[in-house]
This record gives sequence, C-alpha cells and structure tokens, in this order.
Amino acid sequence: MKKRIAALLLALTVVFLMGCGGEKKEEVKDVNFYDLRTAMLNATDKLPEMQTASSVDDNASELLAYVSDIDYKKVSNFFVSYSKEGLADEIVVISVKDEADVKEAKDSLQKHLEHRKNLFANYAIEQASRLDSAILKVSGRYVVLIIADEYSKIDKAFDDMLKEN
Amino acid sequence: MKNKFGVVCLVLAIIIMLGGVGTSITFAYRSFNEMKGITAYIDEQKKLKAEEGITKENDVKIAESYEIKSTEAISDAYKSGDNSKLDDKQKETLQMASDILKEIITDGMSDYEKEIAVYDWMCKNLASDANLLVVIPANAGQEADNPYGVLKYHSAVCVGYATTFRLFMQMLDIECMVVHNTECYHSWDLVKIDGDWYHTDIYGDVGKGDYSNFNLCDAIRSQQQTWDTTFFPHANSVKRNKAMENISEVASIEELPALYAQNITDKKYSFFVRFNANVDEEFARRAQAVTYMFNTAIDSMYIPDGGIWLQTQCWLPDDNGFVYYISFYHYGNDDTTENALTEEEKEQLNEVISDVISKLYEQYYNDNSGENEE
Repeated sequence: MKKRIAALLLALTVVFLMGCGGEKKEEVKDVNFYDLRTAMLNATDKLPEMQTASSVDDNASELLAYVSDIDYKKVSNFFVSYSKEGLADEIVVISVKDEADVKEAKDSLQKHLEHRKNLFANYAIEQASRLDSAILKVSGRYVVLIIADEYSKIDKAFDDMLKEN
Repeated sequence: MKNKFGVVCLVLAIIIMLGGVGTSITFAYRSFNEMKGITAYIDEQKKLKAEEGITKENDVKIAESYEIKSTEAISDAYKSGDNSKLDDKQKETLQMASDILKEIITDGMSDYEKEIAVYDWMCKNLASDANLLVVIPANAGQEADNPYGVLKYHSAVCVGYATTFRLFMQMLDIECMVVHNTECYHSWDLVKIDGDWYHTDIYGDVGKGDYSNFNLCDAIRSQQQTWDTTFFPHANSVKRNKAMENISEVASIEELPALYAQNITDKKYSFFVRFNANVDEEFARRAQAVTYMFNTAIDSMYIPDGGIWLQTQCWLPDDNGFVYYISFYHYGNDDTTENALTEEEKEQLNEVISDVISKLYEQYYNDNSGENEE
C-alpha cells in the first residue's frame, strides 16, 4: 500500500512540475541584418549621408529606444539608418523573436512616425510633406519604416532580400 | 526489499514535493514584488493623468525630450548680488549671462530697448541645434535646452532660446514667461513691455534677426500656434511690434504687389498696410487674393540657396477700421543672395516682378468680373 501511495505521489509531483515548465519555442533565424541594411541603403542614390545604429552596438537597447518603446527583450535584431543632418530620411527595420509581438513593434514605429511628423511640422516645414509618403509595413516577424524620396526602391530591396532567405 | 523500495520512493517524493513548494514560494514572492512594482506604476500613472490638462509654465516636456525649467534662482541672485544659494552650474550660468548684459545694456535704456538689445544679441550669436531633428542625437548631453548649455555652446533648441531669453528678461526685472503650444512641440516667450504682453520667438528669427517673430500680439501669433489662452496672459497690443514701424498707406488693392516687392527688396519682411478705403469683408477677400497671387509668383522665383514665401497675414482692428498685417518667411544666405545680383539686375528684376504681378492681377480681375456678370 505504502509503495503504491509513494509511487502515486511521485507520479503526481512529476506531472505537477511538468505543468510548471514552459514550452520551448523553436528558434527562427533572421536574414543577415548587415546585408539587409546594405541592400536597402544602396537601393537608391537619393539618400543623404546616413548614420546607422543597430543591434550590434554595445548600447543597442538605448539606441532603439529613440525610435521604439518596445521591450528590448522581444527584439531579435534591428537597425536604424537616419540622416546625419537632421533631414527626414530614415530607414528602420526591427525583427521580433515572436511573431505575436510584431504588432507592438509596428505600433511603436507608428508612434515614432507621428512624433517625427510633429517635429517637422514645427521646425522644418519644407521637409514635413516627405513624411506623408512614409512606408510602414509588417512582413512576417519584421516591421519596416521607410522615409525617403525613392521609398519604393528601398522597399523592393527589402522584399528581395527576404525572398532570397 | 519491497519496503526499502517504498521508502526510497517516499523520500524521493518528499524531496521533489519540498522542491516544488520551495519553487512555488519563490515565484509567489517574486510575483508579490512585481505586483508592488505594478501598483507603484499604476499610482504614478494616476498622478500623471491627474496632472494632464493642467497647464503650467515650468516642468513641461517639449517634443518629448526637452524640459522647461525655472531659472528664477539665477535671476534673483543677479538682482540681489548674492549667489551663495546657487550651485556651481547656476553660478557659471549667472557669470556668463552677467557678462553678456554688461556688454549690451547701457544706463538709461528703456525696457523696450533692453529687450531689443537681448533679442539682437541672441539672434546674432546663437545657432539652432540641428540635433533636434536628428533621429539619434550625437550630443544629447550638450544641454541645448537650458541657459547653461546655450550660453556655453551657443547652440539651442526652442526651449533653450525661450528659457535663456526669459533669464535675461528676469535679470533685467522685465516680466517674462515661457509659453508652450498645446501639442507640447514648441515653446517661446511672452514678455511684458510698458504694461502690455507680447509674444517673442527667438527660435523663429535666429540667424536673421529680422523681427518677424518679435513682440507679436495674440491675433498674429495664433496664425501659427495654439496655446492655452486661459492660462497665459493675453497679448493684445501691437505698439511695440516692429512691423508697426514699417506701416505703409495705400489707396487701392492694385498698389499691393509693388509695395510687397519694395518691402522685400528693403528687407522689411513684416509690415502693416493701412488702406485709404473702407475695409469690408469683400475688400479684405480681394486684398488677400492679391497677396496669394504675389506669393505664387515669388515662390516660383529661383533664389540660390534660399526662398521667400508668405508666412502670415491677418487683419487687426485699428482706430480707422482695420490694418492688414503681412509677414514673409525667408531663408538662405542674404549676403550670397545679395551679391548674386548687381544693382542694375535687381532693378530689372523688380520691374519684372511688378509686371508679372500686374498681369496676374489683371487676369484674375477679368476672370472674376466675368464670373460675377454671369
């Protein structure tokens, strides 16, 4: 009897502890972000001098916070390329670890875009209309923001890179 | 043997159970702490929510980055001559500001003259910090939003201009407030001169110093910005507005294009127009139509590295009816633009502008008359 009770207790405990464990998700590999950034920046010669911050930087989470308030733990990779001179031109790509978080990433970039629109409306009205043609889109686990004159070329470069991988 | 197996199983079960209970207690403790954090966060949000909608002058964040902070401790120290209560940074700010006032303010100046002296110094010696528009600023710690950073590095964002101008005014015992727009994306000053309040926005004039944004009344300022008029004092006077010094009288609407061209040539970008005619709604509408046509013509002109376009127009009540306020925005290197043309070429250009405008006006007038006849 004791043996049966002990075995039952052992089995129940194991089941109980198994219930506490999380489901391990399969790791999904990103496209190479350096290659992606290079392809997008080289897609047009109409971009001004650009500066880039990305997930390889030491203070990557602080840098991303300038454009997105998403929890950095949810981010797999990112890069932000922006005009050094404070023009409207900007390219941001964020990939999230879990596709369920992609909406949060998109909403954060939408907020950033509204912030930039307000800034340019107040301080550089001649640039403001350029933000009206901004592309903000989701593709799988990726969110992309493109503000540039030849935005469709940059967008195509992004799509082509994803197709190749 | 059977008993031994039972005991081993029992011991194992107890160990695992104890481990499970321990883990549960640890998780519960962590969750409790997280809950405490969440509660504190909720309280903080409730406090912020309660403060929302309450306008104040200081402790307001502009463009989500730059905070308007009081500098009264510094101006009080200047007036009392006692800087013992200031920290080192405030002392350095006081020293820099005092040196500038010593250089530009002379005995016997009126408040208005002092205001002009400060405005001129700031427009000439400061430059806009390009970092405001850069996505990730290179020198975020350079303090372009407060008098210490502005006077030290001579580079500012709007909050820096507004708080530095206010510091100077308060040091000179002239009432001054920093105003922010309803979207919290821009700030400027309200200054009281000879009993009347005026809007002055150094940011808008820096580098040019053409008084386009100097001592404006509410009616003119509200063409570009909105702010809490229930909190900030009303500015109803144009007595100390520089455009008043450029007032011209014309007999008819047809004279407007030539007047605009002449004023721009003379670098009078803001001015008033008084009409020797009865200004009614139809008259005002037609005058504005001429102004828009002039703007279209001048906007299409090629100006190397620069541009000119209509910034503000509005009608203000006057003792004799209404006066028409016009302000043209211009940018680019004036010297370069000026040197690009000889006096003869400038004269020819003026003739061309007047001719184009007259033809446009004639066209517009004929079209409009035709419509009216129909």
